[in-house]
Amino acid sequence: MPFLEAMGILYLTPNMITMWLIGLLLIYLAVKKQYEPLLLLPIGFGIIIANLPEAGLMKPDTGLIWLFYHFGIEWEVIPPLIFLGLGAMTDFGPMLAQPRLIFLGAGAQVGVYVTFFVAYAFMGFSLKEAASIGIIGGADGPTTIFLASKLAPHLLGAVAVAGYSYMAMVPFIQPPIMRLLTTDAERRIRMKKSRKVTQREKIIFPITATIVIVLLVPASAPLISMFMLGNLFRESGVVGRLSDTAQNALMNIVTIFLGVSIGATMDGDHFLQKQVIYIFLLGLVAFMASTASGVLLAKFMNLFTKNKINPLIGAAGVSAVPMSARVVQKEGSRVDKKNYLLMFAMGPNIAGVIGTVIAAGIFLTMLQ
Amino acid sequence: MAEKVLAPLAGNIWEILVKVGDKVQEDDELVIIEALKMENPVYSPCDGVIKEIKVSKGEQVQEDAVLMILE
Amino acid sequence: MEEAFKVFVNGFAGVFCGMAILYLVIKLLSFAAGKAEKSGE
Repeated sequence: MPFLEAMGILYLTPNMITMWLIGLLLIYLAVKKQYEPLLLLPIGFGIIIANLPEAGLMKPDTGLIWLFYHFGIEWEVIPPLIFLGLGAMTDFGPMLAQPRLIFLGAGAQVGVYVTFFVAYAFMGFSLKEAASIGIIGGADGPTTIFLASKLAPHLLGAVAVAGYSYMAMVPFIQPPIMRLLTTDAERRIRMKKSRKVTQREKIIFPITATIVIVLLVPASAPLISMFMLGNLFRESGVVGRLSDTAQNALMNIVTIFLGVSIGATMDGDHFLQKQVIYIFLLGLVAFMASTASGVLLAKFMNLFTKNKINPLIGAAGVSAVPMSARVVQKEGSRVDKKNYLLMFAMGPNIAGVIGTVIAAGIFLTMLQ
Repeated sequence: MAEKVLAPLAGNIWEILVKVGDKVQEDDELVIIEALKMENPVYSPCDGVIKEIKVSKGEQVQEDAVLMILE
Repeated sequence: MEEAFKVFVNGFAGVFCGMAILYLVIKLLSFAAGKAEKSGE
C-alpha cells in the first residue's frame, strides 16, 4: 500500500531522534528555566520539525521553513529588522553621558578575536568558521546570526544556540571572573555622577553615528543603519507609532521566523559532529575572555584617570543587554548596597553592541 | 534638619515601603525603583522621620528627583 | 596563519578606532548640543 510505504516512520534515523532530544532540551530550558525563551523555544521546536523524515520542511525551494530561512536569513532581512527593534528599545543616554566608558565596549571585543584565533590556530576551523565562532563572544544574537549566515551557514545553528544559551547564562558566567579580577576596594568604587544628556543630542547621535561608522566599516551598514533608524524613531518623539511597531509587533514577528528557521538548520546528520562540542567550548571561552578583557581594560584605564572607574563595569562591555549591566549592579551592591552601577554599566553595554557590529563588519570585509 | 532622599537612578517607582510619620534608621529600605526590569532599593541616608513623600507608586522618576523628605 | 594574524590585528585596530571616533562624535555633540554647564568628566 503506497500510504504505508510513504510513512515517515520508516525513514527515521537515530540521528533524528537525538536531535528531537536536543530540541526538547532547549524547549525545557526555555519553559522551566526561562533561558532566552523567545528564541530557544522556537529554535527547539524548529529542530524537532526539521528532523521529521520526509516532511521536507527544509527542502530547498519548496519547504515552508526553508522559505522562511532563505528569505529571512540568507537574504539578510531578519537580523537587521531585529536591530531596528533593538534601536527603538535602546536609550543611548547612559552612553552619551559617559563617553569614556564606550572604550569598555571595545575592550570586551577582545574575547571575539582571541577566540577567533584559538579556533583557527588550534581547533582546525577555517578562517570563516573561526570568525563565526569568535563573534559569539560579542554576546549579540542577531549579529552572530548575521555573520555566521554569511561566512559559515553550515555552523549557523550551533553558533546561534551556543550564543543564546550563554547569553542566558551571563548571570553565572560573569560573576566569578569579575570577582577574581577585582579587589574589594575596586568593587566599592562609586562613580562620579553623569551629566544630563539633552534630547537634541539624542536625536543627532543616531544620525552622525550611522554616518561615521558606515564610512569606517561599510560592511556593518545593514545592522548599524537599522539600529540607528530604530533609535531615531524613539528619540525623535514624533513617530511613536513606528517606534512602537518596530520594538513590539515587527520584532515579535521576525523573532518567530528567526527562531524556527535557525532551529530547522540543525538536521541531525550535519549537526551531530564533534565540531559542535568545540563550538560550545569556544563560545564559553569567548564569553569569559570578553568579560575578563572588559574588566582588565577598566583597570588599565584607571591607571590614567582621576575619576576612577569601577572595574566591574568593564564586564558590561559584552553586549548582552541588559543582562550584563544587571550583573554589574548586583555584584557592586554585594559589597556596597548603596552603590548604583546599573546606569553606568548600560553605557559600555550599549557600546558593546556597536563594538560587536563593527567587529562583525571587519570580519566580513576581510574574509568574504 | 530636613534631609532629601534623592533617586539614585532613573526608573519607575515600584514600591513605597514607608508611610509619612514612620521612623526610619539609616540604611533602611525606603523605596524600590525599577529600572531595566531590576528592582533597586533606595536606602535611607540617615536616621529620621518621614515628613513627606513626593512620589507615588508607578511614577517615572529621573535621577536625582526628590523622592521624600526626612526629618 | 598569516592571514589569521592580519584579521586579528585589523579587527582590534578597527574596533578601537571605531570606538575612538564614536567617542569624538559624542564629545563634539555634547559641546554642540548638550548643556555646557554640567560636564561629566
